[in-house]
Amino acid sequence: MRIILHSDLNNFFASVEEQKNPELKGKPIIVVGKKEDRHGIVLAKNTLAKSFGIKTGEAIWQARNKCKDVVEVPACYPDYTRVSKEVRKIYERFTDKIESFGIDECWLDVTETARLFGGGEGLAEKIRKAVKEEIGVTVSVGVSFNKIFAKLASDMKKPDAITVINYDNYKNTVWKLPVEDLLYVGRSTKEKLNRHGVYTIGDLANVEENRLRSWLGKWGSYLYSYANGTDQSPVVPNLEDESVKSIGNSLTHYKDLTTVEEVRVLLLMLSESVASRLREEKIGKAITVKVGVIDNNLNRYGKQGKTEYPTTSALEIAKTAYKLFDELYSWKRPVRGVGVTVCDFTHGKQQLNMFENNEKEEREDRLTEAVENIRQRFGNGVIQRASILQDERLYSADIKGKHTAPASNRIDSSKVDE
Amino acid sequence: MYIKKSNKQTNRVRYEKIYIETVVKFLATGGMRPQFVVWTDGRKYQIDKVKSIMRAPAKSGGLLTDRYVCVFGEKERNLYFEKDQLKWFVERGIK
Repeated sequence: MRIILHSDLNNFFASVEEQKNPELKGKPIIVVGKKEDRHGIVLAKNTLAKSFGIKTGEAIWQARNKCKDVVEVPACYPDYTRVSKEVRKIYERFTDKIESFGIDECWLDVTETARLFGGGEGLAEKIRKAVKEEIGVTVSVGVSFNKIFAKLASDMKKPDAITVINYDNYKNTVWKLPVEDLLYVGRSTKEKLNRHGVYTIGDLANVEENRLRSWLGKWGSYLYSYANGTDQSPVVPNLEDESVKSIGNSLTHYKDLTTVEEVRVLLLMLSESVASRLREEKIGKAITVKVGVIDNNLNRYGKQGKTEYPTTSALEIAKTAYKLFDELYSWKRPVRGVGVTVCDFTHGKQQLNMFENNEKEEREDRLTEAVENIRQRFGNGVIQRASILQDERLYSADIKGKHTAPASNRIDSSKVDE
Repeated sequence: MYIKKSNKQTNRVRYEKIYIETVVKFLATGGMRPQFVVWTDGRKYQIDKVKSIMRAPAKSGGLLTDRYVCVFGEKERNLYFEKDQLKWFVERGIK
């Protein structure tokens, strides 16, 4: 039986800011993006700000309405990256099987090493203590026999705590949770399940797998295994603090977008950035594209779909993104921000379809490579698509930056519904 | 319904950071050892021994600081090193 930990840094950005400046302790604080260009949203909050009902993702003015004394702290991503790397080094004392999930969460497979440290719970306690005593921030650690339950466990007690979910107690803990707490169950999946009388993870676990498949397609089988604790997905070690399972970028625009054309310009820019990073990572071609949308009421939407063929081409990624956006968005409200993410990489292996014309893909690859070479020599702004040049502000934006927000803050969040 | 917590300051001790000039020896085997510090009034204080070095957060703030527990004569004091700033500091409690 495996021993899997999920370690989640509590209120990460806010905690780092409190450690930098202890004067902030005891005050409600929010970490914010830049106010110029409409990036003034709450990226993170501490426990005290949360008690006022302040939510991550809302605008600063909304937070201030809930708590007039809330202290705004500008985000400093280099500091968060530094701290995240140092915390990861603590994990590396106990195992080499570490998978990041954003900047503030990691899974650890400690099956082979736990017995040296007093078992899974003993090892989790050593991690909790080391992070607090050496770095000055806290973690909640979940201990279980699979990744899904370990992540649910770390959510159960916050901050600075350890929760164990084992074969003896999972029906009394995990199964009592609302079904939307399960990883990858987004709003639309939750609503579908609710319509079938499934409200808790336990309800889901007790539906026949074939019936779930008939409701949800292949996801039905995944969710069945997640709910029953039979998921065997391994902890896949990844490099540094960025998951190589997906590459994404998102952007909040400086004005509300009201037409498809305006959104497409942004999607194209994001696709270009994502394609460029994909080529740098050298992990093959992408098969799946996810689009995330946030409207001007901060409602979030997401959809994913396959590209026509595995690709690193920005144009192909963008075309898929346009199609997904058209299918996803009903334009009840203007759009404030969008995100494009690619995932499911070929890692160099690709089944060539003898009956399809691969010339088009190869031609686009050559074009993409040529553009990339020019940009590397002369800078990103030197060559741009004509549609982007129309908008000066977009032309000057450089969105290729690799810092990622914590999983819960990303527009292209993991709760995407097909 | 959200519970509004009081904004009243607690009576907890606050700490201030005092950056001080520190003369350091770099060892041939790697690492460094502070040798003496120069206080704000210009007086030098010899460090007789470094008892321990560990990464530890300072109460006065800062990220990823190293704490050197130093012996000055009969007294022990913590001396902190900020790697990213290349600065040394001590802490003092203030009400």
